[in-house]
Amino acid sequence: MTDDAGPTLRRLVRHLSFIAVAVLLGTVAAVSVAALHAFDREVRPAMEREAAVIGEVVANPIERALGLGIPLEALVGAEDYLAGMAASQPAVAYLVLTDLAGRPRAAAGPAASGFQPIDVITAEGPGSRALPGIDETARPVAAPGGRPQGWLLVGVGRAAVDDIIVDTRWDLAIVLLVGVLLAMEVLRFALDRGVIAPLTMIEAVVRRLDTGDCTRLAEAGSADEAGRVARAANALVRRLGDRWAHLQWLATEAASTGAGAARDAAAVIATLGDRLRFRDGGAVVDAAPPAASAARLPLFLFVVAEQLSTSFIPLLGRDLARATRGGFSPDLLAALPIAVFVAAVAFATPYGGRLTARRGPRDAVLVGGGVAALGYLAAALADDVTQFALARMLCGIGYAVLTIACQAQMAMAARQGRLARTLGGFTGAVMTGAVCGTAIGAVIADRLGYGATFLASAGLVVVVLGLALRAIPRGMTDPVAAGQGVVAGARAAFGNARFTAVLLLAAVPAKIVLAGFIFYLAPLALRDAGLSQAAVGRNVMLYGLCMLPAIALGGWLADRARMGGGLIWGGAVLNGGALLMIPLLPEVAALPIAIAVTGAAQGLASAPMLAVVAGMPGRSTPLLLSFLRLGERFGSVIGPFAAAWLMMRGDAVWAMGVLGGVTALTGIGYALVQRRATRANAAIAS
Amino acid sequence: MTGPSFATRIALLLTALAVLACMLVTALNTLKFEKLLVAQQQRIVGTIGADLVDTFERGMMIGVRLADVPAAQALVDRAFGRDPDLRRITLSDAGGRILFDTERVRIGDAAEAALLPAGQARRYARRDGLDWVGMPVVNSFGQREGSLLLGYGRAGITDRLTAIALAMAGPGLAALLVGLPLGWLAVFLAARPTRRLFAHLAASLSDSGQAMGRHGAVLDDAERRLEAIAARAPERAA
Repeated sequence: MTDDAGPTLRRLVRHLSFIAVAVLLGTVAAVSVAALHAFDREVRPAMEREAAVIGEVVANPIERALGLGIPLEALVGAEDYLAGMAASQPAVAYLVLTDLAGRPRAAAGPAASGFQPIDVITAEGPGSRALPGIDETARPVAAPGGRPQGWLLVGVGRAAVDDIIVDTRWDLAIVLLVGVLLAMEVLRFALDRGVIAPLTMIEAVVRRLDTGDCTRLAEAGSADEAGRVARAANALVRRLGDRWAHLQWLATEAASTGAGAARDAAAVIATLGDRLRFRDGGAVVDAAPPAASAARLPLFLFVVAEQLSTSFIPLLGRDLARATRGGFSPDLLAALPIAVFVAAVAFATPYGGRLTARRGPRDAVLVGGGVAALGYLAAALADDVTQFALARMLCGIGYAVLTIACQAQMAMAARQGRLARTLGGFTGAVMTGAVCGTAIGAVIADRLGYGATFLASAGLVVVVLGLALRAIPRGMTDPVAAGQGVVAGARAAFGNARFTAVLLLAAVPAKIVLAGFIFYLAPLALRDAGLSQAAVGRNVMLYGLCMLPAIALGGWLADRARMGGGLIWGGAVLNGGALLMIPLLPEVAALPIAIAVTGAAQGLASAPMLAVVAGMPGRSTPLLLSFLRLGERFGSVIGPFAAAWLMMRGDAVWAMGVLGGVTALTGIGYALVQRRATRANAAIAS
Repeated sequence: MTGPSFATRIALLLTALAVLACMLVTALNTLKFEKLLVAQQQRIVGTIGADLVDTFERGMMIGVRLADVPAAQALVDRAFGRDPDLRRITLSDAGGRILFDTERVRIGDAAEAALLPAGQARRYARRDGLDWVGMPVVNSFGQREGSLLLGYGRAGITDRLTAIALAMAGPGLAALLVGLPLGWLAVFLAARPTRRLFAHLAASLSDSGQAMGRHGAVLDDAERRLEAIAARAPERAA
């Protein structure tokens, strides 16, 4: 890239991101604030109507008594009657019967003790009052056809409405978060395709032109600035080519005057040929190199589609299990779809890697997406838990194939010196996709139901397929691995000592800590320490919040400072140290720190780990990545069991300490293996 | 061939995202409010129905059969006037035959089986564009004597939702009308340095550009030399 292109593009990305966030925040906030005001305004008459109906029902027997000539102050059992009525109406905060002056005669209801006496009574009566948390409506109490003898005040609680308003604010935050993250991903994709990739290609042509290579043309498909520059470059190459053709003709003409002239003309052409290179038949278009970013948006959208249903899959599984006849408990059967999905992902991952190696990432994404879309459709239509589990199996297979294809595409298309950063983008896209999908999926399921949410997932996968068709180039197959079966591939992968070291000493321990500590031990320990469910959730969220920036930093450090190996073992030692510190500090302080450090440490090591595996020479990248992911899956499964087993032998704090110790030791083990490999390489080089 | 700038595409993309986000928020809010209003309407109709059932049950406590409760049709008609969204009230006996109905022509017909409550529990159903609440009427021995069915429409809810949607649409459109042009302007300003970069690249690749100049000079020199060679007198054979 030209000297000022890098900063210019970075500034462009920064400014456009800021503009996108500002526009989305402004418009969505305006709509939501208006919605909340309108709702508050419109719901009040509805609440008054409810209060009026309740008032009429409650007043009826009292009015019949008044009609029989019993005075209001002589009514017996009014308080008990009001209490019974208030208990039967969940919306009622209080029912108060007053005399004409507003003095309470009987009162009942959950908020009756907080009843505020009426200050002013006009000729029409006390009217309606909006009190804190309560909307009050007054109704005259009179004998049939007689004059009012008192007032019945019906207070309807606003808790349901206030809950809705609070819920709506959270929904707004979720839509904003999802909108902003989606905008970032879409912007990144559009800028990569519309600006950065064409600029890179034009630059390559210009660099070649500078060295006198006139054999290649730039791809000039778009009609924007990049297309115009590419056409200008191509025109220049063609003009130079035309002049070359003219000179060759001139040389032939000159050669016809005699042998000496022919020799001189040939010398001129040869001298020219040393400085400028032309292709017989004219320059040809230089196909744009595959961009790593091409797979990022499809991957992000696919993870969003998959995670839309995360919040309700156990609930739907239990509902379907209850409707299924059989001897198994519904709670046990409800776990079946989850177990089937995890197993499908684990076992399909190596086959996904092989498919990617044989057919290329584009075809694998299309196959994986197609299978997953079928799975979502089947899940939407499932009537019992077996059908649902089969549908989730398809989703799992699709997930495994598509994610490994995208990861392999990113690894194979990563530019020189950017492998770790590019693969860090994979983890980043998966994590942001998971955050967006889980959050918005819960909102959609709440409004439209489970079936509609699965249909939304299927629709999103169709978009993913469209994007893959447009953005991911054909090819990028791996001929060596294509002829290899999964077992042979596994033998080759595990026969590689470096791969095995990364897998067993870094990747698997990291996943054991993630599943065993973050998802199992930490929530239990925090809850036992007296924290609320929401507070436990916020603490666990620290992991993701610290991990996301650490992934980017880890990728950058690995590429720039070439310290990928150090980050891998350093991350493990740091993670282990954080867990070992828990027994030494008060739990309430130590646990959030350990969660945050675990996120940061695993984030730092994540991209270098992938880069080390993807960069192993002479091996199939898709296959190695697929076995790495398979190993990580096993780590995720083992984690909670290992943590539970350790807890049975001590307590949660002790279990965390042991996990920390093991993690630190594996980190040191990886450092030793890496040191030996470096020495061996140095010996070979010398 | 000239076409739109990449900035136009980015701005269009931003517009689509903002409109999509606004539509999503509007749709989600409307659905949430609808849920609350529907639940509230159900409570109101349930309260009216419970009161009516209570009246019938009190009538039966003095030994009167449901069909013989005095002024039963008047009670049904009076309850019908309590809520503007109520469309029909039906009282049937234990066998499902209609005894009293706000649509009197239906008296004697069989009530819809799908609307009748199951056992002692209420049944909620939606049929023929109406929401229905089915409530059992039980005598003092705990036996079901019949069922009360209340059918109600959603006109009130629709009016409220329309008002809320319009209230959302106004500020939403205003925000889009103000925000999007500003966004477009900002995108074009942000894109200016990159467009200048492209323009600079295009200029350097033009006829008068650097690459053409250097390589052109080489070619000019070769052409001059070749023309000089071609201009020599034909050589004689040795």
